Amino acid sequence: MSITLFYQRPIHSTLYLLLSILFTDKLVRYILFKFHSYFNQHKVNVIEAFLMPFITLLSSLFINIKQHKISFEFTLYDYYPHLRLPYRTYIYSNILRFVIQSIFLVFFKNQLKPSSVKEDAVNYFYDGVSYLLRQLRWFDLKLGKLLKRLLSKNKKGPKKSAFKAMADARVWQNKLVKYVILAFILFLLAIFITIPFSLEAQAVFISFILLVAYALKRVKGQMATIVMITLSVTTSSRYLWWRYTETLNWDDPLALALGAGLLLAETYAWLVLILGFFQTVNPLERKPVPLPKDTDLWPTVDVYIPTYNEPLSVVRPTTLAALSIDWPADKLNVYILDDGKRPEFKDFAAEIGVGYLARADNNHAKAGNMNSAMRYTDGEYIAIFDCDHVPARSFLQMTMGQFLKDSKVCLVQTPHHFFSADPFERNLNNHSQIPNENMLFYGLIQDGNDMWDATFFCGSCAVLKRAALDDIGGFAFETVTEDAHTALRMQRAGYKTAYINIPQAAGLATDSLSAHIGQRIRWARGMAQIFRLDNPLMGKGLSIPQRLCYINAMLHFLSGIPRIVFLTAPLALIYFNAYIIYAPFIAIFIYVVPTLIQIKATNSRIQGKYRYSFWGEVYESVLAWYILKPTTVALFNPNKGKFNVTEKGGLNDEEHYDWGISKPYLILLLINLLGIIVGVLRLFLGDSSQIGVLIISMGWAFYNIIILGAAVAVAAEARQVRHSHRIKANFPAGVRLANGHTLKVKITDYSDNGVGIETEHAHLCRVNDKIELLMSRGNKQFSFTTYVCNTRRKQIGLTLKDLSLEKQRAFIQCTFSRADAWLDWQNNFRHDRPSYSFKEVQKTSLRGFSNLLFHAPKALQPIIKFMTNTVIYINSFTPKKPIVHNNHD
Amino acid sequence: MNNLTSKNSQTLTSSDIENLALRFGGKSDDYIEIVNKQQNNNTINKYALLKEINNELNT
Amino acid sequence: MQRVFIKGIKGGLGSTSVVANLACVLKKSDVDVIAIDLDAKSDLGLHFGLPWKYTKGWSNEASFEDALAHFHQDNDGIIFLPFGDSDDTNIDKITKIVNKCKNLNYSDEAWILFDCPSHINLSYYPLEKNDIVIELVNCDAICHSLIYRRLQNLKNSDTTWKHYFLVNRYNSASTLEFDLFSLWQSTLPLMAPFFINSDEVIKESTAYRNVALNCAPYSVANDDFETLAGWLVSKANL
Repeated sequence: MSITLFYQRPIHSTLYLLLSILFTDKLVRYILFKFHSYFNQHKVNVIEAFLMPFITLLSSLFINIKQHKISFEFTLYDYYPHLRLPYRTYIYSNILRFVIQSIFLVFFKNQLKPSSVKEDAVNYFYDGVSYLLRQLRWFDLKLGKLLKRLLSKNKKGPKKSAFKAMADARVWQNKLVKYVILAFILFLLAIFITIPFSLEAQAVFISFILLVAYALKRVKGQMATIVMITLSVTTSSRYLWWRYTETLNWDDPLALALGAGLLLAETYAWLVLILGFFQTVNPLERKPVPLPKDTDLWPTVDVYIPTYNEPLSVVRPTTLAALSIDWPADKLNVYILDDGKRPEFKDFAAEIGVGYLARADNNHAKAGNMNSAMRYTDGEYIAIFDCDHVPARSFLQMTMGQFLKDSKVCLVQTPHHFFSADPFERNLNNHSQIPNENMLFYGLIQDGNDMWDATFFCGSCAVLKRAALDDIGGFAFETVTEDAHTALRMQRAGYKTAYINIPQAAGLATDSLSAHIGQRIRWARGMAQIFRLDNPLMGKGLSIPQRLCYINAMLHFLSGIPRIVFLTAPLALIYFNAYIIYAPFIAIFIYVVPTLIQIKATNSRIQGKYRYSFWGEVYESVLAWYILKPTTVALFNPNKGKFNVTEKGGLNDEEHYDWGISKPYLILLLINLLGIIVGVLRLFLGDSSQIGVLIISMGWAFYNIIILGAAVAVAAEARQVRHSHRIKANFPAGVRLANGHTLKVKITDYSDNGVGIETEHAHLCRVNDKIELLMSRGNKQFSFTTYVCNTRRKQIGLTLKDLSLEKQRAFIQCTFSRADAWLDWQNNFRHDRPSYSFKEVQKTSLRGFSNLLFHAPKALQPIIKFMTNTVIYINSFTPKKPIVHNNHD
Repeated sequence: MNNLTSKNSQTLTSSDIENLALRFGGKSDDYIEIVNKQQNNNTINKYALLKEINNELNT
Repeated sequence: MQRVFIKGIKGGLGSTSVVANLACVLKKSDVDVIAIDLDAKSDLGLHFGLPWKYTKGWSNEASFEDALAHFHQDNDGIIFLPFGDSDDTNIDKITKIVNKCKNLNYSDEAWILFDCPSHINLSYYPLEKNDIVIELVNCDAICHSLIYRRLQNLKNSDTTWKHYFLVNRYNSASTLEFDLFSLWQSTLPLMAPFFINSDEVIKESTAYRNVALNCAPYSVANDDFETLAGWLVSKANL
């Protein structure tokens, strides 16, 4: 380099000299060349132009530039996909991203590079872990199958249920032996529950129990269930005993007060658990009784359809279906009981030939309505359908046999099935993926009640014996749940009740969360009123199992306070440092966690088809705050409070978030979130001896947050698009096209005035074609004129227009009223798997949080926007996986 | 001939009562399809030829 | 062999199509099916794809052994015997052929279907205890009258065979048909509990020299024939 050049281009030369210290001559020339080219030709500013060559050099350490020179830009995009384009506009942030990504690429798996030793090690590690997991899973499967083979009952064994077999065994016949054995069992239980174990012994004991539970996981059959129940009873009672005797801190009044609150809540939960086991240990699964062949021997039945303010479009299908029930026409009378006294209802009743009854006043709501109707009708039996519950044509033939078989039966109840989504399913968008809330009651609990002859009336889809009603003075109207109270009175009078677990009617679920909560408030208040006015624990006429079943039903509605306690308990330790469970961390861990696992496993086993694990907590949390007050008020003063009718058939025309309803959950959520933050602070700054309990409390608070998040998600009301609900179906039908050809089809869904069909192979129908739909009701075929409204390759949507009354009736008979219309209500659900169910709850919870942000009130929108933008911006710096192109791109 | 004796329920004449009996026990023969006597009478009275035949048969 | 006689209660009710389609469905379960045409119109062969130039049948032969030569087999394996074009439609000849067919060497599970002309009274046939007779009707008032006459007839004679009525070409969109069938379903003891739906494909398939099952396997008529076949099997086993 000559001195003259140095003077002519001083900066360039200085740079040259400087760089020569660090780099070779070739590199320096390259750098400066690139710098000039960027600066002069591409008009890049100085700093950028200077840095660019260095960046190129740096990246050449990782990538062979010569090889990739032509597709350099593509390569850059592949390895650094998150650099914001155009690169130079965001040069500084891109440099940061570049550097972070480069570090990431060096240390982590990179498929395009030849693998170095380090990466091989990482590979082997991941492979090893997944191999280990696969082996464990295989082992678990094999072991489960082995245990199942060993422990399952022989297929050829008697069909009788294990419980019945035990209960009917001869050994019970001798009263003395019975009492001795019972006393002995109780004595054994008492020993197991009260004996104080050292921590190690407790650990061994509980692991043994968990091992047994694991062994029985795949074993089907009731015997295994009974074993699990016994174990659960033992462990939960043991836990409670331990809590009462060893974990109350008598020295600290605050901790004592809070601890007592938690203890009472836990006692409540234990009581409900034990009663629940008792209630559902052996669902009766009653089979329908056939009627005599001679229809002259069949009794007369009045069908009541009480209505108040529901629209005619809701009541019409119900009435048409009721008229079409398979029962001799001269022995069936249908009545619309209209408390709204609307003329269009009267005209409708006259048009189709049903009775219309209206009364002068509206006292005592539905019960009063029905009592008034009883004055004008005289059927031997009364069937009751809420105005939106469409009965199947086989309803009476499935239920009436019970009355004829046993004259002491006064009530036959059938399940309430909903063909529309309830607020939980609609707002969380999981209709028919998760069993809905009322499935536990109608699928399992009522069936269990039936075993103890404690089925109670649910207000609809049931038949009552007129003579029994007359005996007790008509429908009870002193409480707001007049149905349960009526059944209670009839049972006290010595009658029996029955439950047929076959859905023979279906109706509309409540259409908004607020309506749903309103309904539950009414039930809760009513149950509390019954508890005060007609206490099932006292008074004559009930057997002990019946009393226990009623008490359990009532306790269920008192879950408000305990649920709130559970949702706030961990915060006592975090905020107030109050040891509500006065025991060392390890003891809590050994007592609490395995017991919870065991109980969850047993409940999952018993309820798995009807309710998935953890969803019960969500439902309870949603209702907890709201049923608190009415039940407490009703417990103290049963006569206060008014009956509010549940509205049916309303429409949500836009999606919105119900802030009013969700205030309680938001507050609880907030204090739990704060609790976590405070807990984290205390973890780092506080007393190190408390770390264990702090972690447990934070874990519990975190669990609460998930549950509350799901509750929050429910309040986001989804939009209801359709006026008429579309119901999924699967039954055969036919169509006759205009050219006389027929096609076999399958009805996939139907609604009030439309049908969706599926053909076996591609059809040639076009929109607006007129085709004849052939559907059957039993052995009668009906023909309907329909028009094609949409088509796909193998599917056609049909609408029915302007049907005559006869045709409307026929349509209902062929669709809603099919005897098998609702048979699949339970079968679509797999059995519960707790871990999977918990993941679903988590997903719902996240959805709840995102809903909160999405629906935030306008004032908060800017803050939320800012926060989300910040998060997204920060996220853009995190390293991302390089894009890998397949060979066949 | 065996696959003709046990019909699968994809044909138009498959019965919802049979499905019910299949799932919940009981025999589908126990179910009684109610005859709509009123409608039968209406049909006979509506068409003169039927009415006449009916009268002849019942005398 | 199970013998089934299919006859229209009056002419033109589609009995030949019913025989052809029923034979096709029965054949699906892999048993032997033989169809004999007793109708002078001699059109059963056309349903089975018999070339039009073959006009001869059993009526052209004096002895049964000679008539054996006229047995044909269609693509599905159904064996059929056309009537032929003889002018001599003596009832005794028909009776004779019915009896002679008993000598055909097939298993007990085979079906032999007779396509009977509507104008020949059933009492002329040598019917036995296990025979099934299906009298085809359409849902109209004339058939209503004919059914009741037949019922009176059956009451007065001693019938040993199993006699049933079957509705063909049923169209539930027609009020008269719907009402009549409801009436028949609930009041006539011998009415089959199902029907053959009116379907254009039954007409069209003969134009294609085939049967409905092969031309339109997804039609409702197919289902109906399968129902008919299943029902016959259950009646045969009684």
